[in-house]
Amino acid sequence: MTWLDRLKRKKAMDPVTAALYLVPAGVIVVVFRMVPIASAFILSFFDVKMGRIRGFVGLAQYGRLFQDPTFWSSLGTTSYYVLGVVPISLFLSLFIAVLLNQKLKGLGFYRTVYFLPVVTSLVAVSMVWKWIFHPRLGLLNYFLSLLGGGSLQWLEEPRGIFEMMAGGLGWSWWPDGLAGPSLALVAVIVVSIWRGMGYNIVIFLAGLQNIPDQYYEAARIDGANNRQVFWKVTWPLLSPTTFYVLLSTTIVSFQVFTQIYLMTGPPVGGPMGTTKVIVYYLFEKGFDAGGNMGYASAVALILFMIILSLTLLQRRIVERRVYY
Amino acid sequence: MKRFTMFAVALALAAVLFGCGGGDDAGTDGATVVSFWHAMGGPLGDRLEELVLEFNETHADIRVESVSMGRYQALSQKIMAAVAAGEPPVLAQAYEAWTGELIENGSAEPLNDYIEGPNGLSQEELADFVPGMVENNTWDGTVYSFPFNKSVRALYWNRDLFGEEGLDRAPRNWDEYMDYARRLTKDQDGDGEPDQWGTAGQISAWMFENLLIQNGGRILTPDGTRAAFNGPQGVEALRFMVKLLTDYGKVTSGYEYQNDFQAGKVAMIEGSTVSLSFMEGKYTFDLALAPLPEKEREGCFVAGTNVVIFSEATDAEKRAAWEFIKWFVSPEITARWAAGTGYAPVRMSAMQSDAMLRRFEEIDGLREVYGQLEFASYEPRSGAWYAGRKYLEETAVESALREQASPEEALEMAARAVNAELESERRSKY
Repeated sequence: MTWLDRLKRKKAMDPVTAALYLVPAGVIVVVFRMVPIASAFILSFFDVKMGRIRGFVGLAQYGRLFQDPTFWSSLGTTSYYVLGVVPISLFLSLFIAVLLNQKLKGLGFYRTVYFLPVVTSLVAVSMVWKWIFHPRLGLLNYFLSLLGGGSLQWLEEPRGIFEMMAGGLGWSWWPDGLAGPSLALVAVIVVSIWRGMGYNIVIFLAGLQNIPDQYYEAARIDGANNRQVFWKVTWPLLSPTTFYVLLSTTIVSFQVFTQIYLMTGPPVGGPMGTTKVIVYYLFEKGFDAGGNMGYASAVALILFMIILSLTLLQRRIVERRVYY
Repeated sequence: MKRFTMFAVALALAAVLFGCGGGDDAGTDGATVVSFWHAMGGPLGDRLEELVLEFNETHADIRVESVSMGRYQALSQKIMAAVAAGEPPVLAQAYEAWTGELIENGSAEPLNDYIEGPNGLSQEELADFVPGMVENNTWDGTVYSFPFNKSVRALYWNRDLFGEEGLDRAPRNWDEYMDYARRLTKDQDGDGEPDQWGTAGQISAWMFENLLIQNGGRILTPDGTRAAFNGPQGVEALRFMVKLLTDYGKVTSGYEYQNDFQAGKVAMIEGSTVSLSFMEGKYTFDLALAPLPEKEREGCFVAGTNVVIFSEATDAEKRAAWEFIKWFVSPEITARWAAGTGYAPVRMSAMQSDAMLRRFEEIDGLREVYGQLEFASYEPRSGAWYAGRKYLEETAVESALREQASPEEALEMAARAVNAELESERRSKY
């Protein structure tokens, strides 16, 4: 009698059976998640070139990392990106989801339209937007010229957006520290919001449809107006969904790479390095010049710690307001 | 029956899966297969493919299988990953800095035995190579790579636009360069914005490096331990570049400046000789080339890659790869490669070949441009410089061209970053 036969005879699920069911998913998680995380952790203590470990260096990679001004500026750029994408994306998707949750004519059409960018290849999206933003031949500057406005440099503009706005108001002086993200980064942020919104809308829609109708009916009978219905019924009951969308958008935003790689430059991360986000910095160090995998692993680990602690923080602060 | 079908399918699958892994050095026809990874794309890739085909037709016992990785960055990543996995190709294009890494890793095959062996190169043949090219592929007396696709920078100028200003030759020195660019910048429709520019360029370390050497400067100190490009010659060179490109020219993103030149909107541009093959048939004016203008001296850097044979290959594969290299750098083939792509021939005698003489007839000034090879310089070969070059481009040249920093400050910042890179390389070599 083989082990398989023995397995078949048992009626109750024993631990072995449970483990067997977990194997397919488990193998994928271990091979493609756990092992890379562990090896990055280990590699970050070594000097690695061309896949060959050249020696144990302890915390030297981290020491170099913290002394590299480019690392700090890439962290700043990433923060701008996250702060730009997350709140706006959340607000817009919720707004549109609430609209789409009503009984509109051609609802299916709108839902498809909003979801289209999500299923379109990010590479194609980036290339098309890069042309839209082109200073001389782009559609955007063409529309600006129709409206009588001057053309902007978009992806080639290193000046901060707040500084440019202040300039637009005629202020000649603006503090350097408050210049804000460059217009180039803002352009990338816009594309990322546009591209990611459809997914968030679908999640919000699912959340909205899970709210039982009787709560709305009860609220209406009690004489609540639209605003009260939203803030007293929809918002609290939608909070688990909102929390999930907040977390996943934050995490994905910290890991932005493709848009930056394809839309900015040359050199990528330009102009003036104002779109060089942390993951591109990692890529540059590990794969481009020099190929220092140990250093790149140290960057990856720092990013991992940042995302992990932010997620935990968000759980502590936000979860208290979530009603499951 | 059903079980039998399943079995057959499984067997077929297994055959496909394992079949792929078993690519040994013997091809189906018994020829030695040489896998060759390169980064040549577009017209360059087409020319290379034609030559590889010709080699395979004339060498029955060898089959070179070339794989294009599209760009140098992708090629370097593929080579690094393949070496780390212990399965590199037999032959690949490589920059000197990559070869340096490969030597350290024990993956680059020394070529001296092949050169001196029975199927090698004679002393006369070696002396026929463009001066400096073989030396630049030599580390401590050992030749590890061979010049393959090398280019120099040239000044491309539009004879028609120059003629309108009464100019019948390219600028020969910096003063003329600036003066011509000023005269050729014109506002023809009177809207206050020039619609014809004297020159144009992109943000690149390449132009600065050439100006630096013309001005008598150096990239690194002679011992290679510190940046030297931030000295007074460098500051003057960068100041010149900024004035030229912002007052009498424009800075475009990527290769757009080349399109503007082709469209007749820019009177002269600097570019690699390889740009010729990308411009072919895309302009209607009288195009001419000229060597770069001089300052303290004539000067230019040689760009482009070499080829390396990997130590992991079998002896038969290595011999076959050497056969291909030897064929490719022979005067006749290097001349045809050069005439077809704009790369410089690697042999002096190739300059007198029919293919090159015909090319010199077609392209006015090309002979003089290749003449720069006689005094050309090579960039530092260290891995630290390969990484550090990025700072020269992004920190120094970009900041200065975008007028975010003065040339002095910009070069100083880049020098600090490059010095840190050099320092950390020195420390990691224990």
